[in-house]
Amino acid sequence: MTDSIMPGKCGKYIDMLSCYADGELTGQAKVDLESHLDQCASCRALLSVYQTIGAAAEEAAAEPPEALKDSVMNQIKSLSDDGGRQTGKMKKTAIRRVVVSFVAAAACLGLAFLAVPRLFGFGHGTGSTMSAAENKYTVAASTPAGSEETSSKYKAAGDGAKSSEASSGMTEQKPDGFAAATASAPSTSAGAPALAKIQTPQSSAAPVSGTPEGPAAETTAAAADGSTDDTVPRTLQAARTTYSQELKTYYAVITMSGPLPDILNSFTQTKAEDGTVRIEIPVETAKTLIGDGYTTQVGNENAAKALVIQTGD
Amino acid sequence: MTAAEELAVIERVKGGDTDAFEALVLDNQKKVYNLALKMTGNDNDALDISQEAFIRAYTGLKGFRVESRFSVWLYRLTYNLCIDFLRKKQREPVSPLTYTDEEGENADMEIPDMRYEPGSEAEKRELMKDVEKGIDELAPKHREILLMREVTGMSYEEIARTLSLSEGTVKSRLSRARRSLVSILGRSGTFLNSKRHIGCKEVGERD
Repeated sequence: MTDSIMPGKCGKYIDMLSCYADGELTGQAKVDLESHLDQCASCRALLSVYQTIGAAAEEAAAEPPEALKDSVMNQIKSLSDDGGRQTGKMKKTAIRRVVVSFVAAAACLGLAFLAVPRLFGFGHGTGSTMSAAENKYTVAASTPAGSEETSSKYKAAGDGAKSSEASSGMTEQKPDGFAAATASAPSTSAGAPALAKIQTPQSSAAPVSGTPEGPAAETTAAAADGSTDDTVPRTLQAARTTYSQELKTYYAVITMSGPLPDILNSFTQTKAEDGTVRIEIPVETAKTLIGDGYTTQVGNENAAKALVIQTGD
Repeated sequence: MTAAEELAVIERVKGGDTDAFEALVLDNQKKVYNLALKMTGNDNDALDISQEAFIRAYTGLKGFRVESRFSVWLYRLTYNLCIDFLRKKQREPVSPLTYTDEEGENADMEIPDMRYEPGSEAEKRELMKDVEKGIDELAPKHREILLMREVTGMSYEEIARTLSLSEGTVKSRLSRARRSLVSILGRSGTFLNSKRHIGCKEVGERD
């Protein structure tokens, strides 16, 4: 008679199951869990439930209405008409950057080949032989890693073909570059995870803080070539509050509610009359925040400082 | 879209080719829309938020360098918009019928003895409905992180950056979210619906 899950006995494995189902369990932990799964039907059952939930969520995903794309493109077109005159200038800078990034990418592929021949099919593998992509207990339904290569002992229920276009892109974000190498990706992108490992010294030379991991390192090589002078068109944003005065004097106005991110700690915070907290920051810090996704209104591109406004909550 | 392809499109857009942005919209709209839909529960709001997210991404693209993966950045924009929206609407989460607290410690789970697989289409649809309802009943932190993971497929590292958490927290919170969800589903009898299910053993029923 099979036992149900007994928190005492299976406790530590239960916590690993979620991680495993996401394809994020690696190394010895993964080996341990898989051998536990060999012996424990209850944990296998729970894993199966997790995988099924993932598959259900995936299948229940709604198609966005056609109106979304149309509306977005229409609004964008009317935005760009304002800045249309700048096209010529931007094209030139863009071409130069693209060329540089190809050269950089080619150079890195060469480096990658020297340093990690294994990625190109040479060299011996050592250590853990199964990459994250090759879970013994398959997770084809729910893992973003290349699902084509998985060999499985216990297949997940539901539609296993989650090899959506977007997920092959996600593969490259994995710190474990080997997952992407085994997936059937075109040769240029196979180089990207290699770049993730090799380029670290290079990316630290980049002028911006909050430096990227992974494929974004490619742009760093390109962007480091020269900062962009693209003119910023005014945002049409239907903002709840506009800071029109501030937008004239500051490079950008970044609004946020809730706790301030750590990088703002070293700057002076001023309480304003309207109850908001205001922080002046350098442009570089602003770019980091923008890269992190904070709400931004674009201001005066020639200004030396940007403004963070924290609204109370 | 691979990261390299994304970058190529972004370069074209920055170079003045506005139409090129459409590729980014098409590639990401399903996840953006579903994230907004699951978080707000309303398709009109989801549509508004999705539009706003893309517009902000576009305007942010032109003038500033994108530091991280465009799609990850975009999901973060979407997520923040949803949070703002919910805060303004002062929407209280549906108070869960289970006894999960904020961190959702919930040891008991009713798990079928054997592997659970919905067989027919009808069973699958039932399961989907149950899962959606169950997710709604989760504590907010659990709901958000589970949605983030299931809808966008981001890695733990990306989620950690998006939500400003450590990877360890992402890992444990997801685990708790799932356990909590399984518990909710078990209570609502989801696992009893499957024809393949034989004899559910309950672990220490609590009231």
